[in-house]
Amino acid sequence: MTIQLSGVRKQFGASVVVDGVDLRIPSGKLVALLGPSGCGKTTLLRIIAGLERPDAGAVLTDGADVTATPVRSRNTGFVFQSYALFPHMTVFENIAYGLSVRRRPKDEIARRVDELLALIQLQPFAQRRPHQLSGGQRQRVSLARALASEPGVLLLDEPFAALDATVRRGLRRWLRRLHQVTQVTTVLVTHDIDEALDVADLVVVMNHGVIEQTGTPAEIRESTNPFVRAFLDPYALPILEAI
Amino acid sequence: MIPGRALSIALTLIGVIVVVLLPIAAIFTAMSGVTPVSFWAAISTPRDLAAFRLTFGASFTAALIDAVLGFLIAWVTVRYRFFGRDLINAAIDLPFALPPPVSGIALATLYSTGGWIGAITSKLGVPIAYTGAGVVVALAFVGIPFAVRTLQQAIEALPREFEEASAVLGAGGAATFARVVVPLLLPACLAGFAMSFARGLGEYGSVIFIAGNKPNVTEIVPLVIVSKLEQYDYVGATSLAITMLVVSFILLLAVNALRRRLIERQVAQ
Repeated sequence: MTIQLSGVRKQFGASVVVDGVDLRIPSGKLVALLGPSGCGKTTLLRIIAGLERPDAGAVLTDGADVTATPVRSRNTGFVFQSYALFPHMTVFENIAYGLSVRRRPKDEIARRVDELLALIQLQPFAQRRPHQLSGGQRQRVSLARALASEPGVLLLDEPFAALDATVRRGLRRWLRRLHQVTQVTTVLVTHDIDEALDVADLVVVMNHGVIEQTGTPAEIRESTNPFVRAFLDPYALPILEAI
Repeated sequence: MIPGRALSIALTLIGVIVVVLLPIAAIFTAMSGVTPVSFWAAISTPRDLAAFRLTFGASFTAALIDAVLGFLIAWVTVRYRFFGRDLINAAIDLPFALPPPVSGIALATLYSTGGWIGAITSKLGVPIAYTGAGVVVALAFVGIPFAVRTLQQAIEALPREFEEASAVLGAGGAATFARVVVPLLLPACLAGFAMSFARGLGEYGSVIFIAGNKPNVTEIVPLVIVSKLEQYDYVGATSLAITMLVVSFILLLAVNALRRRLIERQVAQ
């Protein structure tokens, strides 16, 4: 599914969080929205999902304007930074939720959930509850839940931020493979430049609510944009806070 | 960490004993003249049984009303911004602050056949003041702050992501409410129910003005206890008091155990 944003703008009170963003996310690609905290990347992701309504501009998927479409009718997969797994449901029930609210037949749901449990390699954990899982396991369950109803777009909000470095690297590679298998258009929000360059086909660098540069990881590495250069150089990070 | 674990536990024990347990133990010491036979005789007259039924039944119904209405009030005052919200929030505490007789007289006036609400309901054939329904109304009134305050805290602590996740996954408002919001708030609902219930069991001052206090019909147990004391029937009063104490304690233990089980099933992430 292709996503097209044109002139998207969002303001909270007096602060403009997303300031006229135009962006085309090609179908089947894995795109990283990269930028320092407060740059508007999460808000932009929430606008794509329909969790926020833009004050101006439009969101199009496959050419159709979905700006006013309610979030539940969009069939989007969304992975929250905090996972937001339902604590009162088992792993199985969490993954089945999207299918069960769509009133799919029970056997179809069971088949699909088993398939996803195999994909995230957590079959023995189907009857566990989220609090009995490790952070990395929760993250995988959250991904499986988002993929269950075969969404046209998968949106990930800082999916690995709460995990330790080793788990994060493992999951990053796993996400890359998962994307090759599913080929679902994926947008990943991150403030970690290595993560963005390592995993994405296309990197969108944001700052203060606008896009500084869009390019392949190779193009971003060779960037001449001063903000992107500063962001690339780890020694410049303390200075970044002042920008 | 506050230092002095042993000291703080000792102070806690002394505090609980002096403030809570000693007064309750005093009730048991008044039992000295009571035999099992006289105990049973004192709590099993038709008048006593009717009072028990009314007290537990009305407290249960009122607590149920408070849990449901409290959920609604708590949800609206926490999640929505509207004109008069602060006013509603402050008004919720009024039943705490009003002297019970004031509440009782106000409710009796409102719900008697001449009152604003009573005039309408009695025309429809449902009189409220001086019936069991009047007792429920009074108990729901004094119990509502407990339910609302308990639920407000829980709703404030409920992350929005759960509702957002449900919506993204395709659920409408009703499904999200029934399958995500209510289950997550059920422990708090039970806690609010238990507090309102406990308050109802012990309430005296406001009920006696609206209940009419007809023996066998609209007499609550606390009132029977007081009237037995006035007749110097200490054995009867003590027997009723102990029965109330034990049954209430068991019921509250059960509700708390249920709540704990619900929480253990979902433990905060």
